[in-house]
Amino acid sequence: MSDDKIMALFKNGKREKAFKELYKLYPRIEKLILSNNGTKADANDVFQEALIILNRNLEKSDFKLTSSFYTYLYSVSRFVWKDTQRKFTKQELHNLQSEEVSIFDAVLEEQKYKSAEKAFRELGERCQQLLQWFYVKKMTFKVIAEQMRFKSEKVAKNQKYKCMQKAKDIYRTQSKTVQS
Amino acid sequence: MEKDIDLINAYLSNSLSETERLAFENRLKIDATFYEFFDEHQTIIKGIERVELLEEIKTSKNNYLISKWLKYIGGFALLIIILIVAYSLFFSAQSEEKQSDNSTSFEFVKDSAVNETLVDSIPKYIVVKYHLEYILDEELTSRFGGVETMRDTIIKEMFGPYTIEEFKLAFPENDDFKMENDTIFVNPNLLIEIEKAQQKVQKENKADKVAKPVSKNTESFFNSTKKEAQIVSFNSGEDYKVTLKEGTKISIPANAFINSKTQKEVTGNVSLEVTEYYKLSDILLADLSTKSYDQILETGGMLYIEAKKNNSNLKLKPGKELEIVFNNKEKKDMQLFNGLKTDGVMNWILPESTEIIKGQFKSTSQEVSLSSEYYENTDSYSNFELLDVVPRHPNCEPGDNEQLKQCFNEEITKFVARKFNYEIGERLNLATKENIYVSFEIDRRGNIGKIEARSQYDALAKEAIRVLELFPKVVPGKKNSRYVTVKYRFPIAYRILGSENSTSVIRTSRMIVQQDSALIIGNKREVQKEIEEKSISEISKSDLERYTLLTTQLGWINCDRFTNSRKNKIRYNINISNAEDANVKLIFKSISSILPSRASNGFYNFGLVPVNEEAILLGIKKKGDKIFLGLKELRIRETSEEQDIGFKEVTLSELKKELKKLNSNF
Repeated sequence: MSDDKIMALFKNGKREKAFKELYKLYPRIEKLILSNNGTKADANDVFQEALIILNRNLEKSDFKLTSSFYTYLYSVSRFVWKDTQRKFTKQELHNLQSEEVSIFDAVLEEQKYKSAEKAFRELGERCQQLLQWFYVKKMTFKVIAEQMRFKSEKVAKNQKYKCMQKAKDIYRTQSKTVQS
Repeated sequence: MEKDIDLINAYLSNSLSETERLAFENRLKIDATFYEFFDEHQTIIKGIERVELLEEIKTSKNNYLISKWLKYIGGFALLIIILIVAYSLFFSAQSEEKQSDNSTSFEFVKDSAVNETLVDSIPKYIVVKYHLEYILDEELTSRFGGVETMRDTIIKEMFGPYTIEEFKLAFPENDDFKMENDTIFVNPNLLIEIEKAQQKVQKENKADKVAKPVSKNTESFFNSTKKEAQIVSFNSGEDYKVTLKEGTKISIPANAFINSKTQKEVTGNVSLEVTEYYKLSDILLADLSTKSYDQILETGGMLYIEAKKNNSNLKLKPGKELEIVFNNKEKKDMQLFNGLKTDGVMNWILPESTEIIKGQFKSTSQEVSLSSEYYENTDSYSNFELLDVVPRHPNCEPGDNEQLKQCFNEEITKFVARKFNYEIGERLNLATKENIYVSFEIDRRGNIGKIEARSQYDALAKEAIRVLELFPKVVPGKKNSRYVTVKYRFPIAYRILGSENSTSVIRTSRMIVQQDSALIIGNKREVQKEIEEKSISEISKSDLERYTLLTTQLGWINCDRFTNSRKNKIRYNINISNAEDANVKLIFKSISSILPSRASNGFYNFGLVPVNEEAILLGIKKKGDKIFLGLKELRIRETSEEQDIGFKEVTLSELKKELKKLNSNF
């Protein structure tokens, strides 16, 4: 499938299909990681990360894909892998092209989101469900209240606030321990 | 704080007005604490989004792997079909020529050794190879997406001797071959071409060889041993019911026949000639077997029905059908097959049933829709719309939720259309359209349960429930990577067409299995009504446990089911000593199946046969006036040994006696 068609899939909200197509590129990315002392599991993680970053960027209104999907995923994967290996030399960082800088930024941003994800996963099941329904599925508090058997919308909203606060607390302690 | 969160959420979901948005962004720039708060909030949300994204990526990856694998399997399936077609063409061509050719033999090897050389004295062969690969457990595979396959057989088929020069001459355009020792390996796609070339060669050689009838002797023998038909005559202007000697019950509607030649409706007395084949001996003596193309059937009885008036043949008027109750109550999921004899071998064909959907059952996508307003507020129940992965029907290919939903709808529509007993509607004399509202649950294991149906007519609701109880297991829906119970709701629109004369709807066989107790009561009432009306007393309760099948065709009719054995299958081709064109059959003890064979030069080919099954090889041959019978019990194994089934001379009555002894095996 051509890049244009994959792009159309993204635009029409058929993200799963688009990812499926992009997985055809995976074997080549796997090679890259394997030849850089990574394992197959590493390659899998790196590619997932690259897909997430690609998707995030595509959702931004000011993002334009200037290269092919393959080239983009390849460089993102390279950055992700190097970042996890912490192998950037100062020289390298200095010589980054503007295109590469934005990729590098995106990789670092995503690191943050990854630890937020970790924090989120430590919440109770109900909290997770509630937050997902509200933020990802964009369900209204009314529907959530009905589904989760809260007495009222207000209770649901309050509960959401508490869950969010909890996630933030976990996230903060996490990043503190990382920093110290 | 709460206000800020609302504001941030509104900003992130783009629901702020232009001024509000600018004010918000300005605040971010000047208020560092607010920015920090916003950033953290946004980070957490993005973290939450990751969960969803990762899940999606995982499914996509699985789908990618599955589709990759499906392509692979699809290729094999195509190949196998090509081989089967070529193979049958080849054999029919051979028997046409009525001569045997030394160089043609089929053999199978089980063993993964690729490119095994053939032990044969003739220098060059064309060999076609392929791998037989199949899914081990289809149910598991479709449910969990994983794949467990068997790939253990390599079948080689030899297509006669060709020297490399001859081969190049015969197929100048083909360079896709490999020479190895004394063998030429070719791409299986070439098979059909080889086929044609071979037929040509055979035709050219025909003059040199004396044609020898294969088994005319036995053919005429079987004609003489065929069971005699039971003849009943009745007035065709009235509904008629008859119970035959071996328990088959046939109901014939009034004015059901037309003359085969003139196509005119027949009135007055009509005679129905029916032969029942339940016993193995009867089936064998009529030279019948139980195969549908390449698939093995298990029989629940066969019938041969002819209708006559003054010696001219009749057939059923379009739209009319006979109701047949077979004397067989233990076997489930039986279907009705029509028989067609080709080259002396019976092939049973499942009648087309698409017409039913077109003519009688209408259900558009608007009419069948997934319920989205269902809320059952316990943790295990989920609304279709809220699912991460909607349930998948085994016939549907993995895809996104929208496709799966649509496919699920289509499958359920098809299923209902196929299984619904339309007579219930007819008996109710419905004027136009009736809606039946159905709901059920798909539990975490994919089972259908808690089926409920509502309709103005009780009978329709009950029938809908009965049909859905037959609905196969599906792949359950998923929420947060856990299987969950899902509620499904849809209306069935039942429509009655105009009078029968104005439509050309052809209704074919439909199965009515009475399993549901509520339904049995319903039917009993129905039957009792008939008893009162027509004072037929022989209808008993056991009728309700049997099969009622409807046919629109006379002739050979078989009540069967596919055997669906998951066992390994092998191409069973054996050499039988002293066969001399005997008619040889393979009888399976555990499943009521009889397989015919095609003979070639002492070798008998039975097609694909489940391995390790206990079976009886039975051969009947006729030399002059003498009849010989051979019998051997064996277990199906791959073997190249010659099988001696011990032919001995028997009289006709001895033969019948011997065959009757086998009846207990069936």
